[in-house]
Amino acid sequence: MIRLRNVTKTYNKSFTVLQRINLHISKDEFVFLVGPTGAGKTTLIKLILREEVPDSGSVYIDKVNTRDFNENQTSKLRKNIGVIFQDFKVFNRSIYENLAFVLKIQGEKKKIIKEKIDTVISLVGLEKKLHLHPFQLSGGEKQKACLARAIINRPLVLLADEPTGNLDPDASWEIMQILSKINQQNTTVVVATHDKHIVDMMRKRVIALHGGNIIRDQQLGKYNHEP
Amino acid sequence: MNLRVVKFLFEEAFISLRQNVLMATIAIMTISISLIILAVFLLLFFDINSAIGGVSRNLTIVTYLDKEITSSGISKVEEQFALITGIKNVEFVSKEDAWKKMKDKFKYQEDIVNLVQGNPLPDSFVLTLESPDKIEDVAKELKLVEGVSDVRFGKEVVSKLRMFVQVFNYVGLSVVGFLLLATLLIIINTINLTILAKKFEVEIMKLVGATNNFVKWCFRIEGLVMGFLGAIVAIVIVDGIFSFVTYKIHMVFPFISVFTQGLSIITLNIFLLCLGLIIGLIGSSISIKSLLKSILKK
Ligand SMILES: Nc1ncnc2c1ncn2[C@@H]1O[C@H](COP(=O)(O)OP(=O)(O)OP(=O)(O)O)[C@@H](O)[C@H]1O
Ligand SMILES: [Mg+2]
Repeated sequence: MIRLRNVTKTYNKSFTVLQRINLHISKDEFVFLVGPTGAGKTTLIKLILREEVPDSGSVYIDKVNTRDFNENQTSKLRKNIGVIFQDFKVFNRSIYENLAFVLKIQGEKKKIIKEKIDTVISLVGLEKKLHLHPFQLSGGEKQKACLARAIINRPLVLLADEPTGNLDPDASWEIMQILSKINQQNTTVVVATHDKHIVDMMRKRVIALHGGNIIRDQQLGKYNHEP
Repeated sequence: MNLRVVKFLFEEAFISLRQNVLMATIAIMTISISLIILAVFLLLFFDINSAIGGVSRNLTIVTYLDKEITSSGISKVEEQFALITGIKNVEFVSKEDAWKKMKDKFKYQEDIVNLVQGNPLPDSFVLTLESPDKIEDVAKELKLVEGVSDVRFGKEVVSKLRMFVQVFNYVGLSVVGFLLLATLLIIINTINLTILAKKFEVEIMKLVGATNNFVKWCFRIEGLVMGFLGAIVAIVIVDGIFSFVTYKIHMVFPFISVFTQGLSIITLNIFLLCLGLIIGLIGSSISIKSLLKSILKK
């Protein structure tokens, strides 16, 4: 589903963040991306999202090289990649309107918009908060709203950049459960995180970045090196 | 882009305008004021120009002949006139006709007419010209014709009117030009501020799959809506002023027709609407170009 071939990424032509990265994540996988701050986790996610382009090497999504995508292809790609962040990026409108926005851009019919919103909102368990505005929601609820928005187009891939960075352990755990559910519905999930506790509990594939390289890639991994 | 997307773009434009009511109102009012001034100028412009045109077109030269002229002298004069270029029509008015007309005119003041002994009026020719521009040259030539005693036309009136109109047109056009420019700048500024205020929203829009074009059209339509609303306000006010003024003038001078030969009010309304939309579109396009570059890099 996601393949990186010899990907090198530098900022300002001199500062190398990722160096000849090779990576393959298949369709049904749930992957944690770990590493110290500045290791390039966010950069890697931006490369997959094609918000950044590699200096050399290629990123393949669903076997398609995104290197020479134009603007339209990129926006089509984004419909197939859901993404959530640590700082919940939502409009200052009700959850319903936030979700509807994504579909209205695509010119969906009202009926379909309603159906799709119903589906995702029950998946994240926010049925009762659908018409509340962001300032009326807790952090966990905001993140669930973002999750709902990220998967409303049934994307192939869901990227989460420190999704639990601003949440307490309970809310974090809930978010992880939802991500897990989404993964079981045939969506590739990639989570960049510092949350040792969660990584250790989930026992998924763990990819560790350090100094621009992948230093470890383990199934059923833990946050730190196992002795 | 399908119709639902277009509808959505308009909804978003109105939402955005509501979020910045004050700024939007100022921009819309600026458009209205400029358009109103433009409209008033245009109405005057067309009316005055067509009035001047009418005056000039109907301008005639009267040539009075010598009192003692014979009928063969009269036909000689007429032959001479035929040689002068620029004359469209020559009409002979005999002194008897002229005297009859005069008496007709003063038929309620017979005393005055009766004071006059015999017929004091000379024979004359009334000439219509092909174009009013050459009136002075023609008059000069007419004076040289033998048998002509005097040549009369509204010389000062014509040249003064023409001068006035020219100054009026130049001043008016530049005032309108500057106003439109100011309006454009205000729209650019308004959209600029909106884009800055929506930087975060634009980021989200891009994130959830909006194309650059979609984002651009959001702001363009906002500009168009402002231009449209500004034009509508202007049209309502201009039409109000128009019917009020024509009504008042009609009450006072029932025989004078104002604003009728010139510009039709419907044409004016359509023109104002188009201009409002164009200002809105150009203004927003300019600010998009300069501002979105930084936000929409990829
Ligand atoms: N747009 C940019 N321009 C220049 N340097 C950048 C840019 N984005 C990131 N960097 C640098 O690249 C390095 C990697 O950043 P990145 O955000 O990918 O790290 P990260 O692993 O996500 O860190 P964290 O865990 O703190 O989120 C950092 O040193 C950062 O300063
Ligand atoms: Mg990061």
